[in-house]
Amino acid sequence: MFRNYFKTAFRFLKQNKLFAAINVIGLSIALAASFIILLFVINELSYNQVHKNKKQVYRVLNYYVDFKGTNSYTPYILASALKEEFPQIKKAVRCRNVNGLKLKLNNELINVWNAVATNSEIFDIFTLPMVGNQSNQKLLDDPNAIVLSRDEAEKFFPQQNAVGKEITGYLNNQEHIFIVKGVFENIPPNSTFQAQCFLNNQWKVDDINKSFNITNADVDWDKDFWITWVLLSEDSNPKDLQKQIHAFEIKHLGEKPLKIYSLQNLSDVYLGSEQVMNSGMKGNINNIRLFLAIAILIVLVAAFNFIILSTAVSTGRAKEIGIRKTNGAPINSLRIQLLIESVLISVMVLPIALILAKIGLPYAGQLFQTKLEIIPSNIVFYCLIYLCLTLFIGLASGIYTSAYLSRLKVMDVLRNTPMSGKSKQFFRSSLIVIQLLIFCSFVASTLIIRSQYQYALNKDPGYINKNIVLVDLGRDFKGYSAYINSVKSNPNVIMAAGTMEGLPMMSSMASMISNFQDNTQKVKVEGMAIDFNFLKTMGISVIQGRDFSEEFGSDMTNSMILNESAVKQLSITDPVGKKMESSVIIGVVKDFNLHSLHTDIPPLMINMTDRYIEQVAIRYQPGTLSQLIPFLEKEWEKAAPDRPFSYSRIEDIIESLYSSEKNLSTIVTLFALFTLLISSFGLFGLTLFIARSRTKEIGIKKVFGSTGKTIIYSFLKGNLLMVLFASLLSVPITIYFMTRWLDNFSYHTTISWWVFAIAFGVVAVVVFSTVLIHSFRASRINPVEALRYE
Amino acid sequence: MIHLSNIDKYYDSKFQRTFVLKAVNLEVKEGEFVSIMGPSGSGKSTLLNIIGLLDAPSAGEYSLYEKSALDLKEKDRVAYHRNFMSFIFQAYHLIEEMTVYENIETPLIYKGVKSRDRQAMVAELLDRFNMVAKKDLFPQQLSGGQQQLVGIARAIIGKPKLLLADEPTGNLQSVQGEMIMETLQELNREGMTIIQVTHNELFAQYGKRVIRLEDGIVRGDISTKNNQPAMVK
Repeated sequence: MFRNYFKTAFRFLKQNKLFAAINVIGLSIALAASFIILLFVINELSYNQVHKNKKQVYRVLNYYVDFKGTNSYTPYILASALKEEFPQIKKAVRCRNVNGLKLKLNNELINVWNAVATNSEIFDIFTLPMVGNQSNQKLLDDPNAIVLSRDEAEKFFPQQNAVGKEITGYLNNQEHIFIVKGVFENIPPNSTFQAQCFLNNQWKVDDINKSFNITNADVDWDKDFWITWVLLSEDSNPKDLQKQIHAFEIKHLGEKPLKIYSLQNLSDVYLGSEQVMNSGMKGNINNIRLFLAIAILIVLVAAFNFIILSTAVSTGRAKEIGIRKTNGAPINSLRIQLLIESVLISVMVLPIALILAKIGLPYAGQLFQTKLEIIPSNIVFYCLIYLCLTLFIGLASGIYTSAYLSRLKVMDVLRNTPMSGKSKQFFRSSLIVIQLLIFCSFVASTLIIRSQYQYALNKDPGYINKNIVLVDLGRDFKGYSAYINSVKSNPNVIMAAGTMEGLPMMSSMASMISNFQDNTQKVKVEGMAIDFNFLKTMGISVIQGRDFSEEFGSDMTNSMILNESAVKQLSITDPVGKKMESSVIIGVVKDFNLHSLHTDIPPLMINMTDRYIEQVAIRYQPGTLSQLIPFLEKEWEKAAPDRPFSYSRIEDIIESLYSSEKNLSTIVTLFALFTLLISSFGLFGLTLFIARSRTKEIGIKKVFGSTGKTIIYSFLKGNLLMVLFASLLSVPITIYFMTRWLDNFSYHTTISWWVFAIAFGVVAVVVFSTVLIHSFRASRINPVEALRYE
Repeated sequence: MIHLSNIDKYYDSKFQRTFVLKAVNLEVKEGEFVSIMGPSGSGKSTLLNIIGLLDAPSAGEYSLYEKSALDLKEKDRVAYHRNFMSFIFQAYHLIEEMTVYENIETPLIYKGVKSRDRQAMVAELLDRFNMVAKKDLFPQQLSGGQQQLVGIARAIIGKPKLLLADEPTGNLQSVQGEMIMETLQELNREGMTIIQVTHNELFAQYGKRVIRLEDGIVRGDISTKNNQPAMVK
C-alpha cells in the first residue's frame, strides 16, 4: 500500500514540476536560514551543559551596597572561609587569570593565554577530563605545578607524554621551572569557564601583593580579585545556604556589611549575568529571543507557502481522490497518502537546506558577530531539531490539505462541479496577508532601526563630533606636552589637548558623593580626567565659572568642574567656589553625552591630571586629515621612537558605539528579504494556479465585453486589498515592538509614518510585479478555448 | 444585417488540411430567428463563433451592417460584444463566484452603466423571469433550466441586437428546454435577432428558418411554419 502512495506522490510531483520546484526552493531557503539561527540558539543555550555537576556548582557574586553594582570578584580568603564554615559546601576554589605567562619552546618564549591560577579542587568542580588514565587529585598543590590543556601539551611537547616533564617559564618578570603534573582535554567552546593551563594560586597572590605593596592579599577581605566557585553537596538547599551567608557576612565584614555575597548557579552564568561586572563570557538572552522569533517567522512563511500551493494544486487532485473513494478507499488512508506526499517534499528539501546552511554559516557568523561553530557535543541536538522542524513543516502543511481534500464529496468531484472556493480562497488570502504582514513589519522595523542609527550618529552630543582625531599615547608617557606643542605648530591643527580618555568614553569610573542638602543620600558621580584646553578642543561650553587654566597654579591638584546634572542631583546652589571632596568647584559645563546614547547623561566631575594622560585629542581643519596623519606620525616618531603610532577618528569611535544596531538592521533587512523571497515564490505559484482556475471565468467575461485591462485590474484589485490590509496591520505590531526596542536608548528618534509608507510601497511593487506576469497572460486567453464544452 | 460569403475554416496539419467550414454563404436579416442544425462536428459551433467574433475565418468575407467584421481591432471587437451581440451557452457558463444578481449585472458594468440604472435593469429582468427570490443564490444552487434563464437574462440585459445561442437546451430536460425556447421565441417577437445552434429537431422548429450543416457545408436552408407574416408584428 505504501509503495502505491509513494509512487503516486512521486508521479504527482513529476507532473507538477513548477509547483514542486517553487515549494522546494522556498522551503529550502527558509529551512537553511532557520537552521543557521537554530545553530546559534542551540549553541547559546548549551553553555555550561558540559559540566556534569552543573546543578551543584555555584559562583559567588559580590554586591556592593554603595555602588549598587554586582561584581564577580571576591576576596581570596572567601573560598576557604566558606568551606570551613558550611558543611554543605564540599569544594571551594578561587581562580584568577594569570597575565603574561610565557613558556619556553626551543629557546623561544611563547605566550600562553588563558592561564588560570587556582587550587587542585578545580578538577572536582568542573568537568575537566584528564588525558590518559591519570588521577585528577592534588595536581596543583605543588607551587611549581602546571597542568596543560591537550592543545598546549601538544604544542610544547610534540609527540611526547608531557606528564612529569619540566618546562621553563617566564612569569612576574622572572624565570621559573614548572613541572607538568597533568594534561586535560581541551575545554569545549560552550563553557564559560575557559583555561589553557592551570597554575598554583600562590603566583597570583604574590603578584597582587607586589602591585599593591602589601603582604596580606590572601587574607584581606577587601581585596576583591578572585572568582570563587563552590560545589554544594547534592542534598543541600542553596536557598537555605543563602540565608546563612548573611550571618557569615556580619561575622567577617562587620556589623553593617557593605558587600553582600550571593550564589549564582553555573547554568545561569552565561545568560543570567547582564548586571554582573567582570563576568567573563556573557550571552544576550534578548538576542536569542529575537533570533528565535525571526526563525519562527521564516518557517511560518515557508509553511504557509506550502499550504497555499498544496491546496491550490490539490484542486487538480480532486478527481483522483474521488475515484479512489469510489473504489472503496477509507478517508484515513487518503489522509495518510496526502500527508506522505507533503512530508516527502519536506524531507527532500532537508539535504538541500543543510547544504545551503553550511554555505551560509561563515557569512552568518560575521553578521551575528559571533563564531557560529558546529560544536561536536551538540550535534545530536542539531540533527534532532532540524529533523523535527522539517517533519513538522511537512506534517503541519500536509494536515490541512489532506483534511480538506479527503472531505470532498465523491459525487461533486466526479460530476465535475467546480469547487465553490469562497472559504478556501479566504483561508489562502489570510495566509498571504500574514506573510505580507511579517514582511511589512520587518521592513518597517529595519527602517526604524536604521533611522535610530542615523539619529545616534548625527545627534549633537554636546561636544564636537567631527574632524577630531585621537592619538593614543599609551601608559605613563611623560613627553606628551612636548608632543602636543609640536602638533599644534601645524597650521591645519585648530586645537589639541591631552586627556585620560577621549569622548565618547567607553569606560566609566564612579565614586559615591553625599548630597549637599541631605548627606545621608549618596549620589553616584562619574569622573573624567583631562588636561588643559581639552574642554575647548571638544567644544564643551562652560556655563558658570571658568575652564581650567594654566594661570591658576592650583588647578592641577585641587580644582574641579561639574556638569549640570551633577549640580542638580547633588543639590548644590551657587556651585562655583564651593568645596567638594577636598577640591574647589571652579565651573559648571553644559551637559553632554559622555557615553553612547543608550545611557542618560550621568552626574560628572571633571578633574585635571598630568599622570594619566593617555590620549591626545586633535581638532583639525575639515578635509585636511590625509595631510595631517603623516605629520602626526612623523612628530610621534620624534617624540616617542619606542612606541607604536596609533590613532582613531572620532567619527569611527562614534560609529563603533552603535555597531550592534547597524548589525541588527542588516540582519533584519536580510531576513526581510528572505521572507519576501519566500512569500513572493508562494504568491507567484498561487497566482499561476488562480489564473489557471479562472480561465473559464475570464473567457466568459471577455465574451461579455470585458477588455484585457479590466481583467488585469481585477487580479490586481484583490492583491491590492491584501497588501493594504497587511501593511495596515503591520503598523500597530511594528510600533509595539519597536517602541520597546527604542526604550534601550535614553535618547531616541520617533517612529515616523513614512517608514510604513515605504514598507507598503515595497510590498506593493513586489506583489504587483509578481501578479502582473500571470494576469497579463490570463488576460490574453482565447475565450473559444476557455469555453469549449466537453 | 449579417452577411457571410464563401467562409472557409480549416486547420492545417502536417500533410492535410481539415475543413471545418467550406464555402459557407449566409445572410441573416434583422428580426430573424435562425436555427443551425447538424450532427456533431459539422461546424455549427465554429460558424456561430465566427459570427460572434470569437473566432476568425480562414478565408471569405464577413460583414455586419455592410461593414467588414474581419481583422477588427481588439477595441472594436470588445465594442461589438458590449453593445451589439450577446451569447448563451450549453454549459450556461455562469461565474460560480458570483450570485445570480451579480452574474446578470456583469455586462452592464462593462458597458459602463451607472449603478442605480443597473439596479433598476437587473430588477426588471429578474421580475420578468420570476427569479427575484433567487437573486442572492449562487449558480450551483439552481436547477439547469434556472441557470440557463440567468444565462439568458445576462445575455439580453445589455439590449443587444443579436443573440447567439450555442445549444442552449443541450443540457436540459425537455420541459425546461421548451421553457427556454419559448423565452427565446418571445424575445424574437420583441424584435431581437437570434441565431441558435441545436441538435434537437423539435427545438429547431421554434426558429423561423433552419439551416442544415453537414461536414462544414450548408445542405439546406428552409423556412419553418413559424415564419409566417401573421406572426411578425
